[in-house]
Amino acid sequence: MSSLGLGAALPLVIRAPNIEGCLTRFVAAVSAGSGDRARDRELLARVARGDVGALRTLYDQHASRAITIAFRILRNREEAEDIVQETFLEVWRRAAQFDPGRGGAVAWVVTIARSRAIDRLRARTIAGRTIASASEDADGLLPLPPASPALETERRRDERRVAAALGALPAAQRRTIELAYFEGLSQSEIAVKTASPLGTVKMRVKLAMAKLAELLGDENT
Amino acid sequence: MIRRHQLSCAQFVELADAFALDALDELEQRACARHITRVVGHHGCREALATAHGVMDLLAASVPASAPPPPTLWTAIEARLGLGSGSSNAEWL
Repeated sequence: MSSLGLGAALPLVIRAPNIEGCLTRFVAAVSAGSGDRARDRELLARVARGDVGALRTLYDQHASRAITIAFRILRNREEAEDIVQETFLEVWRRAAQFDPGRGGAVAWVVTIARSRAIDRLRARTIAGRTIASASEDADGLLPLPPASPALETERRRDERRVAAALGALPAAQRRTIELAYFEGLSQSEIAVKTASPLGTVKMRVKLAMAKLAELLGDENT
Repeated sequence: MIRRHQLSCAQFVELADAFALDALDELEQRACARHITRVVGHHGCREALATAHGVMDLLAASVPASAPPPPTLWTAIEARLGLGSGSSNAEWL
């Protein structure tokens, strides 16, 4: 339960489902490169030393993404805000464990938020959230704000790689990854939601992840 | 269906993508967690998981910053951390 008691609506923009739109957003939001990683490492090191200003900087940079993923999974504004609180509490506690070799601070923060949101979703599943209610209406989200020129250059380079990988995915595989990642559904839930055999869903997950991993492999060489 | 027996490395590798996505059913998710944390000597498990985590990181970084948090949210975080009194996170460690 939120301790904030906020009554105002979150300025989430809800639109109709749009696979191509998701692809565009994915491409436009690919992670920053090594320059950002160094900055992230420094920020997290400062947080680990108890620097509140550094935590605030991380919050300013990533809270919006954290609340976006939490809302997409939970479909509840107050719960999404709670998740963001829990996420940054965890960042504060575990900053020293940040692994700069992985996806940067943004990936770390979003992954924590997503994981906490899924935990909460599954904890309340019995209480009534049906798979059908995991509607597609939170699909539309605004593009990222403009980044620095250097960051833009890195993103454009990555965009081509991500676009190539995602463009090669059949729509069913893309949709499966979206349901699993962005809506927090399990493979069994996806099978029900898409009226597909569970084995088919599992295969789609594997094929899609392999294709995306190929992209990462290219990126790292 | 994964039962409570220990997974083999081959079984884990087969499930690694969905495990990283947190998309397995609860029993399978637990079996994978047990395998990766308790088994000594893996055959491709850590590599498969690292690859899947790489994809997850990419997906995480692709989440759009489309929902600005309300101004009160940071204040609430500060309050829960007790930061107003100038404490540090050392107390959490």
